[in-house]
Amino acid sequence: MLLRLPKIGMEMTEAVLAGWLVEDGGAVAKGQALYEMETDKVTNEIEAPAPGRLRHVAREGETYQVGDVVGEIIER
Amino acid sequence: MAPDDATLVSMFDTMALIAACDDALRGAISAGTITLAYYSPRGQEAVAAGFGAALRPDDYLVTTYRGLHDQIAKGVPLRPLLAEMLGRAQGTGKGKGGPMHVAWPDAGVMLTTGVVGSGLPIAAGLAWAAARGGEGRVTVASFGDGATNIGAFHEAANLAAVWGLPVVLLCQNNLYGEHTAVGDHQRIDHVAERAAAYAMPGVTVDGNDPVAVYEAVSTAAERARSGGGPTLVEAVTYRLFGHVFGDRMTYVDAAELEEAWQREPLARLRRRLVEQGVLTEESAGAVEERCATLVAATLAEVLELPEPGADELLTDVVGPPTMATAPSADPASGEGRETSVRSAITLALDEALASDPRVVLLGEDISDNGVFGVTKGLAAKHGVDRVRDTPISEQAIVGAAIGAALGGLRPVAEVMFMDFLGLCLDQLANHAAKLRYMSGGLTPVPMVVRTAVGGGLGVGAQHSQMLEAWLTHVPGLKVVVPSTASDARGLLASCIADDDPCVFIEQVLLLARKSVLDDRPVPLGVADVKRPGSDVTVVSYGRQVHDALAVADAVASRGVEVEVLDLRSLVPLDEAAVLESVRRTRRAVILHEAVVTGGFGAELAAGISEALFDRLVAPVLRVGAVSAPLPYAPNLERLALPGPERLLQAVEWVMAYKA
Repeated sequence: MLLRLPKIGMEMTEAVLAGWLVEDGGAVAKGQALYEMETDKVTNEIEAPAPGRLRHVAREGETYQVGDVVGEIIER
Repeated sequence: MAPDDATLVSMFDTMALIAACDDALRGAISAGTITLAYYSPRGQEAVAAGFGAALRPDDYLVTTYRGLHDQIAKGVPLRPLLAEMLGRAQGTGKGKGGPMHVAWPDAGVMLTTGVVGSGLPIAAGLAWAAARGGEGRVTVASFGDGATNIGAFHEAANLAAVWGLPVVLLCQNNLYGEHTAVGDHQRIDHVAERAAAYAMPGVTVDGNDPVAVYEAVSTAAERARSGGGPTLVEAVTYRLFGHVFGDRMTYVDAAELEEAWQREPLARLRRRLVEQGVLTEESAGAVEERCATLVAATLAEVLELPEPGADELLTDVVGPPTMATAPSADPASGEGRETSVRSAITLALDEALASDPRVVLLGEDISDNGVFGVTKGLAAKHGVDRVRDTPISEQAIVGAAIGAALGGLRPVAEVMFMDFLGLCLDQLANHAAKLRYMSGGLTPVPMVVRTAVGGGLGVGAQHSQMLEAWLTHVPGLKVVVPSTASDARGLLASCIADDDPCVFIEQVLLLARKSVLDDRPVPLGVADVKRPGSDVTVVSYGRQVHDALAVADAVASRGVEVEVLDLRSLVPLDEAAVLESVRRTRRAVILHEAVVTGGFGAELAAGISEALFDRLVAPVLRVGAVSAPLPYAPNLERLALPGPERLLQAVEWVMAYKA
């Protein structure tokens, strides 16, 4: 399952991927916090929509647009 | 009345489906698959399952933007519901309303509002229609704790109590109004205490226990069905994922949230049903599995559905044009006789009440003539149930009219003075005007608001202002201003027959004006040439039409022929008639009572200039009130309002104009 940068709040268009909370290739449970994203307004933790193994695509500190692929969960 | 095992299982099914839906949506938003402002109902599913099981399929529900659980529990099918969330053409509202505006009349879901508290007056109106229908339908108004601080709640609760309406006011107290804790937004311990102010029963129940909600709502619904009137049920619950998706809930104590998860309603019911032997671990798991699979499959299916076509942009704003009904040709009704505008309006109301059992009137003091005598004799003839007095509660009056219209009636509401529209503009502009569009045509609002304007009476700035431009600016509203007795009668009949909300404006100074009544129907959107002419067109409406006619008479002796075009309805606008006239005369002056700045005349002037720029031999002029609150002193009021003198100057100016 591809992880795209979600839109959180009516006015959000982009965010900085502030940091991964699970290492590349690490196992994740559903609901586990995967990464932090930071907008002008707020910092949010984004949770895993499904269990599996996390693959990083986005780099920490870079800005991404809503809908950009930031990672992937490879489901077992 | 305790629920039987089948009901318990069905409530568990409902809660599992709500949780699965919520889980899938939050997952899809996290993964960036879908984007929407999402107000999770997770934690409140027991309230919905409880009331859903307690109601009949034909009972009505009015809910709010955090309403997914309510909609599922009341029986809105998953596919159109999810399709609407994703803005798809096969959504409940063809993708035009969105998740905050779901309606599904087949399941009794008549309204989902995005405006806190605004559903309550509408629920009262639905309950009124249901009571008149006599089928024992109950209306549930679902709202949050935050809504109980807004005027609409109090106006609706009071009206429901005074009228003894079959409505259940169901407060889902999730302990927060947006980000403000309940203890910081009200001083009472329980929302249910507010019931005392309206002499209705108020009960507080555990909203995380569907059985408690089922029992409380069953009792309240039974009471309502048997004519016992409204009940306020407060279901105390919790919002497990905050206000909107992405809300980090920094305003919530961590221990409080953890404790709330301990009381999470779905797991709690599951444990209880397994303990009682109603379900087994396996059968409960199978239900949850089935719900998750169903939601995942439906969501995947809906993601592939097409968006609405561009051709949907302007559909469902208003309904198809309605043929005006011809007023009755009953000679007793006054045809051919000199009749005042007042009597003509009374006649139109009388005829509508007599010919259509769906027509009802509501407003302040209307059973006792009304403030200007327009409703004189109607209550005696048609009954106080159909010509119904209301408290002084404009939101409740207009909201109840909307609800009554949704429930199949043809309400004619009276708002005593147009200046008071500010008190009910949310109902008019956010609800009456938008419900047809937001539901993709499922919930049209056939209603009329009559309202009086006291300009020229010496009653000061708060009883005098023509505010038609506020209304014409809102797509979905129709706006009508008669100038003669025949037009008043015919236009009002057309408004009542129309399937959309119409505001019918009665200038008080016009009410006594008499003219010969004829029985021609007057459709909406058809202007009337009150006097033909070839040199300049005066476009006007309402009582100013008579000023225009006087000026036309005065200048005729000097060889200037003024054409007086009476718009009669501003929305729909007879644009063709305006352009046809000005194309001939090549000069236009617009006359209205309203303040010129930002008035409807600006719209007319722009339209004429855009279409006929090359044809015009003079600029389009506007004549209206000066930009000041209407003063009280008679000399100042005369100066503020437009009169024949200023119109005469404008006509002379355009006639003398040389480029």
